[in-house]
Amino acid sequence: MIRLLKYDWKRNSTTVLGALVVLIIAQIAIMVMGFMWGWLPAAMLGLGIMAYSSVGVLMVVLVVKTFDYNIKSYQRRLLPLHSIWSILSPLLMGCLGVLCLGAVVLLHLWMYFNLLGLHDSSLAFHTVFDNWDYLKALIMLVWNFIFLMLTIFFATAVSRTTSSRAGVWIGILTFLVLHSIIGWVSQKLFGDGYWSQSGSINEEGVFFQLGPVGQSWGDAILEVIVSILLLYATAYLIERKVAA
Amino acid sequence: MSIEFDNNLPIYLQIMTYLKKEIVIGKLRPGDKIPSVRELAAELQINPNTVQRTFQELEREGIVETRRGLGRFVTSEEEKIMTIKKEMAGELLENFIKGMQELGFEEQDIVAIVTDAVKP
Amino acid sequence: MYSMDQLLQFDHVSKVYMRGRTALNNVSLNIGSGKIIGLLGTNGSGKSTFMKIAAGLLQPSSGHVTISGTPVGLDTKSIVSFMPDRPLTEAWMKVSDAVAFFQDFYQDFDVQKAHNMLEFMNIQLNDRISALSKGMNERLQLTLALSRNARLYMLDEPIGGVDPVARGKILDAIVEFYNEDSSLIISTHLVRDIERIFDEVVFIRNGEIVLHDEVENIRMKHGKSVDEMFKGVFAE
Repeated sequence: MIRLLKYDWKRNSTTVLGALVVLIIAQIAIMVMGFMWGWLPAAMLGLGIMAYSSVGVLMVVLVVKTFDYNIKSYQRRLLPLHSIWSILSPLLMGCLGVLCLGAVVLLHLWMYFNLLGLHDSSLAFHTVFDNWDYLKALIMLVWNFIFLMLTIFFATAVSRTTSSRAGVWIGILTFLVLHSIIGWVSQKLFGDGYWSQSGSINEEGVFFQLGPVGQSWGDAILEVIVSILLLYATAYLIERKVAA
Repeated sequence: MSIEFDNNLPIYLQIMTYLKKEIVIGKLRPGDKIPSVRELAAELQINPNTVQRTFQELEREGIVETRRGLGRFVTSEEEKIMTIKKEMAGELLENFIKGMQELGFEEQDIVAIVTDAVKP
Repeated sequence: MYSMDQLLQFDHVSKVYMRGRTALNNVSLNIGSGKIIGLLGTNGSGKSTFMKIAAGLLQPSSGHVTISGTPVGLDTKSIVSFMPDRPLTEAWMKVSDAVAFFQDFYQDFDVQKAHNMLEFMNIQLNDRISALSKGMNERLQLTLALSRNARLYMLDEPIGGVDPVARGKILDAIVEFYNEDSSLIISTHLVRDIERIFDEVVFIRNGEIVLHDEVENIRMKHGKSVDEMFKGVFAE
């Protein structure tokens, strides 16, 4: 798998490194301008998070594109490797990306709070986060990412079982239906809301509730089971059903 | 080495004829090594198994012999080569006579014409 | 029909695509070891479908396909080298990356042979693949496919879209670098240029096998070239 990952990375490295450079420039610009013109820390943080989010979205897109390319490509499909590796390789690439990005975001937050002394009353962060929470947040971020990607991969594989143009719509529909079902089952079983992170910015400041705070064990176990099922279902589709 | 192949006829026969001719006219001398299957196939851009078959036929006719580990060689038996030469001449003659007969020439006419033609 | 040990076996194989088009109709065929086979048919006759099924890219709708007795699947991919109608390389790659890719994933890949063949083809290791001409790219794809020590090679239209010079070079390379213990199936509709390198030909029309014979037999029995035979069979 590491070898597959190597080639997945090589195909995407230019885009990823380019995005990274743009991100760093943007963050520096936000900080510099923020301090020069005395912006509200909340506004700086908000802009910074927006920049991070767009890179996050780009990453999701890249990983899905990589997966989509790999399951169609003859070069990959002819390899004497089990099709499960063509799921795990882009997934691992995405995880590493998210991990890096997440680490940078957390480092950035930590810098804001501890080095630049920004914990004024407009930020409610320090009430939610202690050091252990940073790690938990990172793990939850990665897990949620894995789960999201597996559902998208499955929907992508379904969309590729037909070579007609309706494929895209079938994929989107599959994705929506899948998430509705999981949400519904989760609610029936555990009652709680399905996505547990939420963030809000109000006049009193930024308030974040992330990952572990609201997630139950039941949800986690359900997600793990669903993930394993999705993994095998997707592998089956790639092996037997994806149009050549 | 180059052969203009006629795709309408079996290729191995055409290579056989070609090699026999090379031997008869002395371009390939008795005891000479002949190219390997691979070399000849690559050179003529043809199937190696076809070349293999050619060699087998030539061996069966005793024109070519395999020496273990060394390759294939033109036979050193001069009479054998003489026999091929006569065979080839026979074929030519047969075709020629058949053609002449089809044109309506009688035996003595054909002889007269040939005698006439070979005069310097 | 043939006493040779069977390498590739198609047993009553049909393939119907999703929109109802039948690409292969009840095809049964045996291919022995150590042969070069021409898979001849016009466009859309089912040549590519046949190869894709044997390569494990497509699942047949019915019937069985085995290679050396093993059903086509993960196990057979390591003994079959297929050059499909789409590249085996990626746009970002240099020639050296493509060679490294094959070396990384195929245990039977012979790097030395690849280097010899690239030299024969006049391709440099640090050429960018996206900058190669069509004919050059075709040569590269062929190099990658033939540099494996596979049991079965399949080349889908290797001389299809290239000029006569490149065509000659490709034929030279096939005869020069083909491994005699294995079998090689070449699909094409350009019969005349290539018929001399075949042992056997298979004519495929509308997804059905209409003729399977040794080429020298065809010439002997019918006094015709394979090309003429092909034109006769496919003239409508």
